[in-house]
Amino acid sequence: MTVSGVSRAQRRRQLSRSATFWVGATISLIWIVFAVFGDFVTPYDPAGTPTDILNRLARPSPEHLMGTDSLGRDVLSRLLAGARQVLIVAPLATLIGTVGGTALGLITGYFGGWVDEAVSRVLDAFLSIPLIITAMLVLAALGPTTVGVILVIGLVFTPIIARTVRASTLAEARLDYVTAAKLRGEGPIHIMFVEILPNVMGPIIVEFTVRLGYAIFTTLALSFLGFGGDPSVPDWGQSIANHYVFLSGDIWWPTLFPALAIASLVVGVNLLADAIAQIFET
Amino acid sequence: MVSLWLLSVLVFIGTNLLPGDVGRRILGPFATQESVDLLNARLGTDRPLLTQYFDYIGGLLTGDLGQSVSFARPVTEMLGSALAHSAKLAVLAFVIVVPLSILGGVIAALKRGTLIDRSITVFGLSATVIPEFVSGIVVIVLFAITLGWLPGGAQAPAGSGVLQQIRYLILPAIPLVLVLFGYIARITRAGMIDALDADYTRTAILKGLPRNVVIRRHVLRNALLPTIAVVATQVGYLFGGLVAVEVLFNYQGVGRLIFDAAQKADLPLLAGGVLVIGVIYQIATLIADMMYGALNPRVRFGAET
Repeated sequence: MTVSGVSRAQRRRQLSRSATFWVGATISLIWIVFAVFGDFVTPYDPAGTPTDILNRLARPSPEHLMGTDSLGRDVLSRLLAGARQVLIVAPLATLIGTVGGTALGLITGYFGGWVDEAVSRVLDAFLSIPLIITAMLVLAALGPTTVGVILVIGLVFTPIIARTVRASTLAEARLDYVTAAKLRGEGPIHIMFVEILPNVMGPIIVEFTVRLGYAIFTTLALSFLGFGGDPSVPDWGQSIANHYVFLSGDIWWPTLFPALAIASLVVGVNLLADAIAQIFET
Repeated sequence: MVSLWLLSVLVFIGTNLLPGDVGRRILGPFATQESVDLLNARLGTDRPLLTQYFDYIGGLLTGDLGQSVSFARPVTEMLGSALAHSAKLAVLAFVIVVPLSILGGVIAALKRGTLIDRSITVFGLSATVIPEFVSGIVVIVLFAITLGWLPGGAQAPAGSGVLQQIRYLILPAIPLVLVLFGYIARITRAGMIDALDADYTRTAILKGLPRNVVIRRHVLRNALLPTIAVVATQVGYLFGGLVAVEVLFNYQGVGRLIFDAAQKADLPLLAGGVLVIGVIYQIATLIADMMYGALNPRVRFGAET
């Protein structure tokens, strides 16, 4: 996982030649554009209007390209609005986990000893419960809110990312430049964050992109299960949860379109993560 | 043992400490203070935390997980029947996915760099990251509604034979299989490639052994070691996936139980379900460690666990 010997320009060139990278980046970018500018494109109000109910469960037509849902709201408009929800929650959660995990990993890797031992024990216990179940436990105890979803995913990611950063820090801490900094009389904070951190950025970037995929997966699964937070915000998981019972009546559009949206987003983000992981690992 | 104890502490924190007032959390904001106090007294959650904690640990050691608040039945009893259901689904998923994904990983590694390798890798990666409830929807639409080949619910009618039960469980197993396929195939492929590039493989080829003998005797045995570890960790993961799958296919397993408990804020039931899943995961990891040690002569376990 060392990044020495490969220059930044070389890595960029490698990335630009990777088909996986371009496909992943394109899909992700499309969804980001939808999330940011969705409001200007949506033909209808995603939250619906009082008269919508008269036109409930309408088949896809020129007026409603993806049909309407059980409350008569335009499925396409809600799809575009739903992109925003997941693209705010998942990256924020991942960012919290990455920042927390980086700090914790640098500290445990640099100091070692009992702090290191304690963190890895807690991590083991944490990891024996699947993320989605930990999240449900915490959200059931505290009450489901969007902020709660962000915090609980970030919290669980923290020790996971810390482990990766710790391993890289351990390797770096033995190198000459760290010894030199110690001899110069630099304090541990300076050594960790100014000397070591820039050299372990590669694994951190890889970890961030991979975790982002998991965060999207978890956020959507939680909202499907009814723990996604505010029910009035349009949300793909929630749309599916509310409409899959209609599938047997041949009413597929309010369920299948959000399902395809989820599939395309997670595949896009993960192709991107895979391409980035590959260039840092070679 | 330390991990088991830490697990119980985490669950205790999650269900007794986090909610603050347990009775209030269960009954919701509109319940009268009187009924909240009554419930707290019945659950014992009006006592000091330390007393509660020792009581809880004592219960764990004697196999008593308390009473479910919303179902008014012992948690242990409810978990028992739910576990039996989930185990059927989990076993079916594993029986399908383990040979399939190992085969996929081996083929990808042997055809490294070709279109076949790329297709298996990209398919595996995509299948792994799509949430189970999404692929579940797709298989229901495809196989249950459009083609009508298989039932869209997982619960076979009471008294069905084994084959009939399996028929009902095939569709729910597919999302689990898809998610696991990518992980296991990926690790198998990586293990195969490491083994193919290793010195002992080159020695075996230069010794003049036929290619399939080399692969069977030298490459596969070494390549499958990391796969075992991954299969074990995926047991824990599988239970996470079971929640969405059992809800979608309306199947009364542990995942569904945890979902119901979480929705109704039935904290004793939730705590029991989460604990059981954690314990299963730790047992699976332990078995994997032992198998790893047995299969790999280079690993000798000392006192450390």
